[in-house]
Amino acid sequence: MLVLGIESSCDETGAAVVTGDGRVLSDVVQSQVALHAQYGGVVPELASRDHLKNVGPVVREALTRASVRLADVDAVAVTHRPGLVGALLVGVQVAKGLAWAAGKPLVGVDHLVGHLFAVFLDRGEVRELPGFPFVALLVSGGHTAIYLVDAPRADAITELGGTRDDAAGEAFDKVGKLLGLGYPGGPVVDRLAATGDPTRFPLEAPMLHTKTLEMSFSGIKTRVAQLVEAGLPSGDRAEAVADVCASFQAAVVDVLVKKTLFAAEAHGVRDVVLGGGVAANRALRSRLGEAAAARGMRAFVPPLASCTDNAAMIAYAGALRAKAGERDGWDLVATSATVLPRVTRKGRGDR
Amino acid sequence: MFRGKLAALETSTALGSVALFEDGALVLEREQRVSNAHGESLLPMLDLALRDAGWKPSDIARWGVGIGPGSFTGVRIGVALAKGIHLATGAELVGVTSLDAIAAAAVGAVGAETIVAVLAAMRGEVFAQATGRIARGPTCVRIADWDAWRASLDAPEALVIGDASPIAEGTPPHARLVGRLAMTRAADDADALEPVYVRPPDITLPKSAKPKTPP
Repeated sequence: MLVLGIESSCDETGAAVVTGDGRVLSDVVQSQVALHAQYGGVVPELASRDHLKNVGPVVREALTRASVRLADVDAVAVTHRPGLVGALLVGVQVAKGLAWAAGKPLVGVDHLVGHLFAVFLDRGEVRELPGFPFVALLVSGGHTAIYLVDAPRADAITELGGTRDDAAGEAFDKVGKLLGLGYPGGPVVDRLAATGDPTRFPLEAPMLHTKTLEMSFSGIKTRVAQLVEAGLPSGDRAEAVADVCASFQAAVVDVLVKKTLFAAEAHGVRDVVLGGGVAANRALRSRLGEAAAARGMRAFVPPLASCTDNAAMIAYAGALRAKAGERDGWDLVATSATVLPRVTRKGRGDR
Repeated sequence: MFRGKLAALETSTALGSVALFEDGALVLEREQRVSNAHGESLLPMLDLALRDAGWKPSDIARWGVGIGPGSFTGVRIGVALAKGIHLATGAELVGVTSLDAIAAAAVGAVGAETIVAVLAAMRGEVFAQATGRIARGPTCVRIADWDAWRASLDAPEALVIGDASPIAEGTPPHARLVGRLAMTRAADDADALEPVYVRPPDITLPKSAKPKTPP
C-alpha cells in the first residue's frame, strides 16, 4: 500500500509518500518559520496564504522524490484537525481535489494521532519498535500531554493528563523571547542551557510533586519574566542568560520525564515513546532515555524528522485507517479540536 | 476561445457556485448559499453536478476558478480544491477575479463605456474596480468615502454593478461568469496561481510584544 500524506496544520507545509508498513519514500517539509519570525509567533492569515502558495510544488516534489505517480497511490491522507482552521483547510481542500479527481480514497488524520504513531516510521535506520500498550509523551509548541496507546487506532488512545495552560514548547519559545533570543526561542534555549549552571537561579516546574499527570508551564515562564524584570546581572549577562536557560530547561524536562514515567508505572507499561517538536530538545531526549533505563523501561525517541511536524506521520496514520477500510467523504472539514478526548481542563482552580 | 469541457468554481462570497460548459455552451450550473465558507459543501456540490452531467473529473480539460477579492477563506477553499484537481489531472487552470466576473455580467449593457464592479468587503468597505474607458483598481474603498471615489473616476455615465449594499445589489460573482471569462483567456501557471486578496492580512501583535505599563 502507498499513501500520499499532506500536512498544513500550523507553519509547515508538508507532503510525503509512505508505504503501509511505514517506510518513508519521501518526506518534504517547507517551513514558514522565517515568515513568522518578525511577529514572534505564527500569524494565522500569513500561514494560510503561504500554505496555498507552496502546496502544489511540495506535493509534486513528494511524488517525484518517491518516484511514484499519483495513479500508484492507494489513498490520500490529510491532517484535518487540530490546528489553525484556515491553514488546515488549504491541505484539506487540496487533498480532496486530488483524491476526488484521481479516484482515490480520502482519509482525514488527527495531527496528534500522527505524532503518536510517528515512532513507527521507517527512515532506513536500524531501530527497535515499541510494543502495545505504550505510554507516549507528546510535547510540542501547541500540545503537551501524556497518552496511553493500546493499539494502532485513534480510538485506542487515552489521554492520561496534559498541561492546564501553556504547551511546553510554547513556554520554551516565550522564555526565549523574554531573554531576547528571537523566535523560535526553543532551540536557542536548548543550546545555551548546555553551557549554563542550572543551580544559579533555581526554578521548579509547578505541579512537580502532585500525584496527578496534569502539568502547568505558565507559572515558570512568569518566574523567568520576574527574573528578567528584576534585572539580570549586567557584568556577566551572557552567562546569566545561559544559567536561566539551564535552570528553566532542567525544571521543564524534570516534570515531563517524571510524569511520563509515573504514568508508565501506574499502567504497568514498559515502553515509553517521545513525540512532538520539543522532542528535538537534547536534554529531554537524553534524560528520558536515562531515567527510563534506570527503571527497567525502554524509551523510544524517533529521529528529529519524525518528531517535528511532517507529512510522513500523517500518511502513516492515514495508512492505518485505510487498511482498516475507513475513508472520509467529500464533505470532510477542517476542525480546530483534536478527536482525542481531553481529560485535563484548561485553567486554574480545583479539579 | 477554448473548446472542450470546462468547469468553473466560485466561492468568494456566501453564494458558492459551480458551472459546467462544453464547447462554450453552458451545460448546467449549481449554487448553494452557506454560512460557513464552502469547505463542507463545495466538493459534494461539484461531485453531484458532474454526476448529473455524466462527466468524469478527468474529462475536464480546463478549470476556471474565482480568485477573489472576497472572503479570504472562501477564496482559498475554491483555489486549493482547483490546485488539487490540477495536480491529479493536469487540467489547465484559469483564475478569474470576482470583480471581473461581476463586470462580465454587465457586458452588452447599453451605453456603459465604463463598468464599476463592487463587492462587499466587510468592515464598512467595498472591493471596487473600474473597467472600460476608465480603468482603476481592484482596490478597497470605505463606504463612507464612496461618493468621493466614484467622482474621482470622472465617468458619470459608468454603470455600477455588483453586490455591496447600499452601493449596488443583486449581482454577486458566479461560476457561470467565471467560466465564460475562463474560456477567453490563456491558462495560468497552476502552482503559482494565488488569490487576489487586495487587503493585507490583519496582524495584531501579541500582548507580549507591546510595551508593558506597570500596574
